[in-house]
Amino acid sequence: MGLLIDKSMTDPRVKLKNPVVAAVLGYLIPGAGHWYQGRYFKAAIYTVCILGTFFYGMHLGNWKTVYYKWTGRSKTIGFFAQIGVGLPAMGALIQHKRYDAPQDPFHANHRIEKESSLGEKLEAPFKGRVRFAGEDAVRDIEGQLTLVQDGGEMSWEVNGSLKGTIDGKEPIELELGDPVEVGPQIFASENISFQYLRLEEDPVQDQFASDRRYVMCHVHEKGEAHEYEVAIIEGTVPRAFWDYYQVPIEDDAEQHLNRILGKQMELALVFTWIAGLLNLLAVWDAYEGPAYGYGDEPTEEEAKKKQSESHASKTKEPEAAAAEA
Amino acid sequence: MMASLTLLAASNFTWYVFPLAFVISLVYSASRYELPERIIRRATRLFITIVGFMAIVFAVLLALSFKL
Repeated sequence: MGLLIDKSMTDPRVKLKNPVVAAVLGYLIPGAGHWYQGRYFKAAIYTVCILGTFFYGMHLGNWKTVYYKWTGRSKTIGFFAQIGVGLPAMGALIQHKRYDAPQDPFHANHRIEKESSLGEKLEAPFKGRVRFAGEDAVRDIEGQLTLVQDGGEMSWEVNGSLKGTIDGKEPIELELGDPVEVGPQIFASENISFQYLRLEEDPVQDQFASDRRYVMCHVHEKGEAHEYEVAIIEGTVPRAFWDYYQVPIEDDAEQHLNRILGKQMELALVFTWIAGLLNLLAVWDAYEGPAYGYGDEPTEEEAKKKQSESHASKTKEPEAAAAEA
Repeated sequence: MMASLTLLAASNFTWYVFPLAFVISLVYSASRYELPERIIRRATRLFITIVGFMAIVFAVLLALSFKL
């Protein structure tokens, strides 16, 4: 449907205030530029529709749809569409930087690998299992876990403790030490399956989680001359929301996600891409005003009708004059 | 609402065309005009056009795949 409007000028009835400020606001938060300009009806449309589409896409993809990764074969080209939505997607850029930066000593591939971050401490509520030496039984254990990295630059070790209960009733305090495995602090989705204290009833498939961080430690007991390993604990501690939200996802977790979600994952991506692209229209509208006009201009059909009516009346006039003469 | 939409769409992903077409129509039309009535009128027409086009494509593909 074409329209008869002058596209070179914004309708003076549309108050754009400061268009640059409006465009920047509109980019950062969909609809914010229009709220600033006082164009509330359109602001509501943009905010609800664009943010709704974006977050619904995130929800469909288990909140793992938006992240920025640019390494080797793994490049999230679609992120350039998602970033159109502004602040809601910008977290991915920050998380990409945080993910690539050196993390705390309890970092990367379930191994503590860094030597220089001395005095780092991990304190968190632990939930998992324990098995004592000489026993076959694996028991549940919960409590407050503390792990501290000690040692110099050349040699280092991890020590700690766990104060809690076994099977929910028996209070216990354990001295922890090497070997220790801890999941990375900043991680999108981690395999938290039991590797050492697996039970028969555990699911065969790997279990992934974002909000939990894998921990395995050995339990030590001091003897007269030596320290003895008396047990092993394995489980998880919580991971903060900001340590997994929009963090680049690892290949194995991505494959797991595609396996459980299938086509839904692709659809989730499409939702977030569309949201980002739609916001570009909103930003342009905040900067330049509506593309076709205010909305009270005649449509092409109405203009044609009017034209034919005036044409008819013009042709009738000479006929009437001739008849009168 | 989100849960019911997900439940509905879980049966067939084609249902997602409705919310997507709705959002695209509304935002696109809002970026073209200023008057609310005109935006809604135009968005409704666009929505019907998109869904109608999709329905025609769907019908053609369904006919072509009949007894395949």
